[in-house]
Amino acid sequence: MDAITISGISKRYGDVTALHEVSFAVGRGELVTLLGPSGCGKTTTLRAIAGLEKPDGGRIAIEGRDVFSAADGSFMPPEKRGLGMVFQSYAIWPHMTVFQNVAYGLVARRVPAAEIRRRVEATLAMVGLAGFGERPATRLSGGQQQRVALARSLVGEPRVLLLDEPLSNLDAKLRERMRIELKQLQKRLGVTAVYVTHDQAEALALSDRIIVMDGGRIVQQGDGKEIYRNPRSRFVVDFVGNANLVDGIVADFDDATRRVRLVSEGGLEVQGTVPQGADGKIGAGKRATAALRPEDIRVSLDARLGANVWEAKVTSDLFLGNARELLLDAHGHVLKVQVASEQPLPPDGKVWLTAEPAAIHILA
Amino acid sequence: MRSHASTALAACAAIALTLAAPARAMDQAVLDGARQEGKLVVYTGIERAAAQAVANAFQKKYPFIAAETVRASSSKLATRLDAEIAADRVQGDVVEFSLLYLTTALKQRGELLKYDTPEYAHFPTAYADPGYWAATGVSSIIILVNSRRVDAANMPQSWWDLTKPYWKNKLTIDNLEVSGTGYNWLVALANDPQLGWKFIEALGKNKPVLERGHAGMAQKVAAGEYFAAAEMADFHLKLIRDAGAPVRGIWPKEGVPREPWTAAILRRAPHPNAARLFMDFVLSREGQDLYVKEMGWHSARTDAAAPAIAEAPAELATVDPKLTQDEALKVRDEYVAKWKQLWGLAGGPAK
Amino acid sequence: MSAPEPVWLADLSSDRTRLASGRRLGNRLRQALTVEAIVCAVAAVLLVWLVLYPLLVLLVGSVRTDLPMRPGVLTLANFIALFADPVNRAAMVNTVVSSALATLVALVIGVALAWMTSRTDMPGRRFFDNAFVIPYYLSPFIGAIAWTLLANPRIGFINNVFTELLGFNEAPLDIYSVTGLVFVLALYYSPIVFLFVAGALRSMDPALEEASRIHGVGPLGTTLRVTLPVVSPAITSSALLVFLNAAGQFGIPAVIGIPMHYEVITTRIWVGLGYFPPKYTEAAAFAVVLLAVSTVIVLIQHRMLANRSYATVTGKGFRPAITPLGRLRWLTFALCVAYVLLSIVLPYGALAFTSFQPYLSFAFDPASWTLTKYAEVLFDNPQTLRATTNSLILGIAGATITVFFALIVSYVVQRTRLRARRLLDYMATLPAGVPAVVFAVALLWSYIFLPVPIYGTIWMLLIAYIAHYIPFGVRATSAGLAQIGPELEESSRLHGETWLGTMRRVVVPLLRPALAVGWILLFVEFIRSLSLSILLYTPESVVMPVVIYDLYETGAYPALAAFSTVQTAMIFVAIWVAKKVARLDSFMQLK
Repeated sequence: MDAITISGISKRYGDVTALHEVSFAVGRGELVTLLGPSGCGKTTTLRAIAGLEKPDGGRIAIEGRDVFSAADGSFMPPEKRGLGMVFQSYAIWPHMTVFQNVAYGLVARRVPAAEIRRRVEATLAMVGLAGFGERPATRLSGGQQQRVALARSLVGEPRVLLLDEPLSNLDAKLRERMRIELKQLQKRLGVTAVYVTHDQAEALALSDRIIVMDGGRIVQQGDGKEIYRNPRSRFVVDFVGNANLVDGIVADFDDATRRVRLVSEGGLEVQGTVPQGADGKIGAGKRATAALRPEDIRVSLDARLGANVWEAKVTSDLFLGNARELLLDAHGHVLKVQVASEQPLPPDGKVWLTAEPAAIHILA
Repeated sequence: MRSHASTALAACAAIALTLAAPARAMDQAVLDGARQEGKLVVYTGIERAAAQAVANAFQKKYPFIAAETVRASSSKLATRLDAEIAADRVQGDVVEFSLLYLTTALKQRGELLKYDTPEYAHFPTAYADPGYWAATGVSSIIILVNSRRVDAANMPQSWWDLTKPYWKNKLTIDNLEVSGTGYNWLVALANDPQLGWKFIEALGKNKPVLERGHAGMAQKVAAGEYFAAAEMADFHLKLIRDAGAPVRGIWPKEGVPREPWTAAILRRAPHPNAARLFMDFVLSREGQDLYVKEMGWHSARTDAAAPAIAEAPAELATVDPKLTQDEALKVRDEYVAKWKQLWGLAGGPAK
Repeated sequence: MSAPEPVWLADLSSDRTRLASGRRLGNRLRQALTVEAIVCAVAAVLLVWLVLYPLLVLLVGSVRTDLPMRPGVLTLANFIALFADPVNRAAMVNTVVSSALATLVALVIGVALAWMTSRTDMPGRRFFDNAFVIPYYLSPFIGAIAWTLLANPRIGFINNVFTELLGFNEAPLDIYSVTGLVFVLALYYSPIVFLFVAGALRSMDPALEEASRIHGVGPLGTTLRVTLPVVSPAITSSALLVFLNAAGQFGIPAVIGIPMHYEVITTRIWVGLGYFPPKYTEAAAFAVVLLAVSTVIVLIQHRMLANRSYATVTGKGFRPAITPLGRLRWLTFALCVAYVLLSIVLPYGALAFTSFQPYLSFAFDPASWTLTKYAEVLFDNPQTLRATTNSLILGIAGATITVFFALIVSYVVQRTRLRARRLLDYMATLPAGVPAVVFAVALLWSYIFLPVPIYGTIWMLLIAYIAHYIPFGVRATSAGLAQIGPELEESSRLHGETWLGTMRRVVVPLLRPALAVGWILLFVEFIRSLSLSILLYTPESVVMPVVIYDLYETGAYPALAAFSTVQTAMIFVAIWVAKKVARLDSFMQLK
C-alpha cells in the first residue's frame, strides 16, 4: 500500500486555478520532491496533504485511508492525520523551550512524561541538538531552529514527513551540509517524506523521485537521473539543470533512431536526439528546440570533423573555482559551456565546439 | 431789592457752576483714561447670556471700550482672583458674584478701588457699601417645580410642604458644603423660627439628591429627572422657562432667603477708568433695568421696576439669616457638619 | 552606519608633531561637532527641559512644604497628611481598583473582538475593523457624558425604554455605580487592546498555528497553547496602556464618579487645586503616588517582555487559518454590533438628540427641535469660539512641532552611533509611563513660580501637550523610519550631499506618509485631551475639552451636546484625511 495516494485534486482561489487534477503516489519510505517555480502548485499540494488546504475536487488517501474525498464530502482535520511537517519559517513556538517545542505533539497525545522525556532527548540527539532542551526558543540560530523543527516533526513517528522548503533560509554552506544530513536521517528512519523546493540541485541531490510541476500540473515524474537525462519538455530541461536552448526548424527527422537535424535561424546546425516519451510532436519542417547542457559541449582549439562541430568565439570567461564557465558566440547564438579550470584558450578566442548528438535533446 | 435777588441768583448759579465743574472735569478725565485703556475685563458669575447682553449694551454706549466678560462660577472666580492677587497679576477689572462675604473680605484686605459714583445713592445700605460695592441684583432662593410632573394638588406652597412623604426621592438640592448660595440658604432657614433645624432634619428624610450647580439642577428639573429643586436661585426660573421648559417657581409662604450679587472694582484693575464707567453703567437705572430684564431677578435700586414673573409675589417675605456674613462664615464648619449628620451623609464614597 | 569620519585630518596631524596636540584637539572638536552631534545635543537639552525638569520639580516638591522659590523645608509631611485623610486613601484605592477592573474588562472585550475579526469567518469583518477603532479616537469623556444621558437612573434614555415602553417598575440601569464607571472606561479603552492584539494576530506567522495543528492539537487547543501565548506581549503592552490611561484620566471619573461621591486621584487633585489656597503640596504628593504605581507596573511589564521579542515573519502569503463558526457566526456578529451600538451609536445618538433640544429633555417632541444651540456654540458664545480657536492653534502647532521633534529623536536613536542616543531614547519614552494628570501637576509646579509668563498662557498648554505626547510621536516616526533602509541615506552621503541636505531631499520626502499620519493622530489627541488641560488652563487659554467640561458642570446639556458634536465631527474628518493620506484601506492600520 502506498504511503500517500493523490487522485485528481484541484484547487481554485477565486479565478486562479492552483491545481488542475493532480495525481501521483508516494511509496513507503520514499522521499519524493515536488519541484517547480513559484506558483506552480507544489506548496498547495503539500498543504492539501497536510490538511491545511481543502481541495475542491479529488481524493487524498494516507496509508490507504481517505483523509479527503470530494465525492463523499469527507475531510479529516490536520491534527488527526498523524503527520509531521517542517515549515519554511520553521515555526518554532517562541514562548516555549526547545524541549517543550519538540514534546508538544506527544503532550497532546497524553504520552506519559517519562516516555516523552526519553523520546525527546533521543530525537534531539539524532538531529545533533543533544543538551539543548532547556534553551528558550528565541535564542536559537537559524540552523538550530531548523533542527528543532525537524526533531519536533519526527519525535511523533509520523506516517509521513512533510517539508516545505526547509533549507531556503539557510546560508549556502549550511544548506549543503543539511541536505546530506536530512537525506541520511530519512533513510535511517525509513520515514516517507514529501519535500517541496524550487532548488533543482537540492531536488536532484535528495530525492528518490522528483515530480516536476508547472502551472498547477505535473509535467514529468521520475528519479533524478531520468529527469536530468531525459527531459520531456522544454520547461523541464530548462528548469532542472542548465541548458542552452537553440530554437530552429527541423530539417530531418528519423523516427526509428529518433535523430533530428535542426537548423537555427542563425544557420547553426544541430544534431540531436528526441528523448523517450517526450511531449509534443516532432516533424520535419516544424519548429523545435535543441537543448545543450554546458557540460556536454567540448571546446577544441583545432577544427574537427563530424556532426555538431561549430566555430565559436569566446565572449566571456568566468573562473568558478572548480571549473570555468565560458560564454561563446556561435552563429549568433550565445552558448554557455563548462570547461576545466586549466582549459587553454587561444588569444583571439576563436575555438571549435563539439557535442555528441546523443547528449543533445530535441524538444517540441 | 431786585438787585439782591438777582445777585443771590447769580451767586447761586456761580456756586452751582463751580460745584458742577470739578465733577465734569473728573468725568472727562475718566473718559479720556478709558479711551486710552480701550478695554474692560469683567469677571462675572451671572449667566452667560445676561453678561453678554450687559457687555454689549455697555459697549454700545462706549464704543471705544472693548468689553470682555470672563464667566465662571462664583467659587471659581474667587479662587482665581485670590491666585491673581497673590501673584500680583490681576487681569480683571470688575468682579461680580454672589459671595457677599468675599466681597467684604476683599474690601477689608484693601483690594477694592474706591469710586464714588452718584448711583450709590439709590441703593439701600443693606445692598451697597458706597464707594466700594453695590448689588447688581438680588436673587431670591425659591423652589423650582416641574409643572408637568407635579399636579396642582401636590404643588407646594411652603417650605414645610417639601417635607411631605409625596416628595420622597423626588427632590434635588445643591451640595450645601460646596455651594455658597446653598450655604446661605441653610443658614437662613436653620435660623428662622418657623423652620429651623427641625425643618432641615425633616427635609432630609425625603432624601434630596445632591447636585452641583443651579443651572444643572434646573435643567434636570425641567427634564423631569427630579420633580423639584428644594433650593434654586430665582433667575434660573426665567432662563429655563424662556427655553420652553415646563417649570414653575414657588415663593414659599414663610419667605425666601435673599442673595445679593455684588459688583466691585478691583484695586489692581489694569483698566481702572473703564471700570469706573462700567460701575456707573450697571448701577444706573438703565443698567439695572437691563439686569432685571435679562436675569429676571429683583433690583436693589429703590426706583427700579420689578421683574415680570407671574408667580413672584408683589411683596417679598424674606427669611432673614440673622447672622452677619462674618458670623455665618465662622460657624460654617459647625453648620455643615450638623447638616451632614442630620441627613446621614458620611464623608466617604457613596457606593 | 555612522557619519563618515574625517579621516584625512587625523592622518595629517600624526605627521606634524609640532602642531600635533593642537591639531588633535581641533580634530576632536570637529568630529564632535558634526551636525548630528549638535542636533542630538540640542534634542537632549530640550528633552531634559520638557520631561526631566518637571518630573524632578514634582519629586522635590512633594517633599517640601511649599512651592519652589518660596521658603520651605524638606519633609514627608505631605505624604503623611495625604495618607491620613480617609477620603484620600479611598481615592487611591478607588483609582487602582477601577483602573484594574477596567483593564480586565477591556482586555476581555478587546481580545474577543480581535479574535473575532482576525480568526473567524464572521460576516462584516472589514467593516468592524474600521468601526472598532473609532471609539478610541472619539473623546472618552464625551462618551461618559453621553452615557449619563443614556443610563441616568431616573430618566436615562435606555431606562425610559424599560419603564415606559416595556412597563418595568424600576429602571434597571444606573450609570452612577462602580459598574457603570468600569463599563464606560472599558468601552472606550478596549480599542487599544483591539488594535494591539488584532495587529499581532494578523502579523503572526500562520505556520505557528499550522504546526500545532499538524502535530496533533485541534483548533481550540491551538488557540490556547499557541495563539494566545504568542500574542501575549501585545496583550500585556495594551493592558499596561489601558491601565495608565484609566488611572490618569480625569473626565470619566469626574462625570460618573463625583456625583456618587466616588473619587479617584485625578478628581481629588482637581478638587484640591480648586480650593483657595490651592492644595499644591497635596497635589504633588498624590501625583508622586500615582507615578510610583505606574512605574511599578511599567517595570513589571518590562520584566515580562524582557526576552520575548516575538517578532514573527509572515511566510508565503497564506493567511492564518480561519475558524469556521457555523451558526455561531451570527452570535459573534451580534456581539460586534452590540459593541458598536454601545460605544458609538447610542451615546452619540443621545448627544445628537440632546443637541437639538432647547433645554434638557428626554421626551420625543420633534416640534421643539432647533438649531439654536449649534448657532450659539459656533457663533455667539465667546468662550466656545475662543476654545475652538485655541484648540486648533494648539493642535496644529503642537502636532507640527512634536512630529518634527520626534523625527529628530527617532533619527538620532536609530541612525547614529552617538553614545547619547540611549539617553535620548529613554527620555523620549519616559512620559509614556507617566499618567496625564501627574504630568500636569508636575508642569504646574515647574512653571507657576517662574517669572516668565508661561504659566496660565497658551504656551503652558503647548508645552504640556508636546512633552506628554513625545513618546506617541516617536513611536510613529520610528516605525516610519524603520521601513526606510539606511542604504538610501548612505547613497546620498556617498554622492556628496550633507546630512541636512540628505534629510531634506531623501528622508523627509520618503517619510511623508508616516509623518502625515503621525501629525493627524497627534492633532486628534491634542484637541481632545482633557486630563492635561483641566489643571493648566485659564480663561484665555481655554480649549475645547475644558469648555465641554465647563458646560457639563454648569448643566448646559444642549449646548454641551452641540459643541461635543462639533468636536467629534472635527476628529472624524481628521482621521478620515489621515486614512486617505496614508492610503490605508482600514482605520486599523493607523496606529
